[in-house]
Amino acid sequence: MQDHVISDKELLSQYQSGNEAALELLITRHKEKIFTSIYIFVKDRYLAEDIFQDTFIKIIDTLRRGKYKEEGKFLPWAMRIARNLCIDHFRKTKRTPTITNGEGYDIFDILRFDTDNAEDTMIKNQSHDRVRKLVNQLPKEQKEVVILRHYAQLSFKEIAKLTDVSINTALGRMRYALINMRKMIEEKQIAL
Amino acid sequence: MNRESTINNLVRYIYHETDMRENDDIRRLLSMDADLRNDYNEMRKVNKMLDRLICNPSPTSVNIILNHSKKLGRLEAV
Repeated sequence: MQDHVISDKELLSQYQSGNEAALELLITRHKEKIFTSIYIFVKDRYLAEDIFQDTFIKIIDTLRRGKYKEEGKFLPWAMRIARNLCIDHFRKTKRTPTITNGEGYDIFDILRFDTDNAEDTMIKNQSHDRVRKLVNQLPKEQKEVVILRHYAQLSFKEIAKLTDVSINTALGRMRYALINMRKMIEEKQIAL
Repeated sequence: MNRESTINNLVRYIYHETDMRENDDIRRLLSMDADLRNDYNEMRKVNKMLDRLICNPSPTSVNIILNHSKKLGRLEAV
């Protein structure tokens, strides 16, 4: 099944008609955006994998029950489910996310790289660590809009709807997020 | 249009959400306003930096999802 000619809407329809390959293509197409978003939210590799699985299990169950009403595009719907699962998790644990190292590695150990030598990889690892810390230092609302726009690639209009704010508020949060990250870079004299 | 609206439109421009007419307006403003140009360049740098944070779920997670779907399909067929 070729990726570039089939819309998400068509893939969903094919899956609901029993085509399992359509689901696989849908996952392949969107897994990077959804997983990166979850991972930056929760900052724990194992937890992100669980929530990623739960997100798609919910999607599958909704589709199979015939409850998907084509209310909008697939990715904003999937991100709404993922976001709600992240929020549910934090409510249950009643804590804000902290970085955990289950076995001594975190998100930036498994980032995709071009083929580099060891020194280049180390430099990239350090750079990614700085970027990760910058994003994590943002206020909650700004961090959320960065995740939803930059990684989940929702539009500002979709973000505004998802987070129940005006589009100008969503834009303002992104604007301040970019400004704040730039200030942090200057203050800490971070070389990126 | 006030400064805040202009900067918000710059953010939309950076994320390719502006139409052709808006693009022309923004490029014209950028050519005339050095401070605005500086704001744009700074935001672009951060935007490019954020591009480095991309990751993928494990193949195991994907297989768990696909197996869940296939299992449901078998149950429905019974």
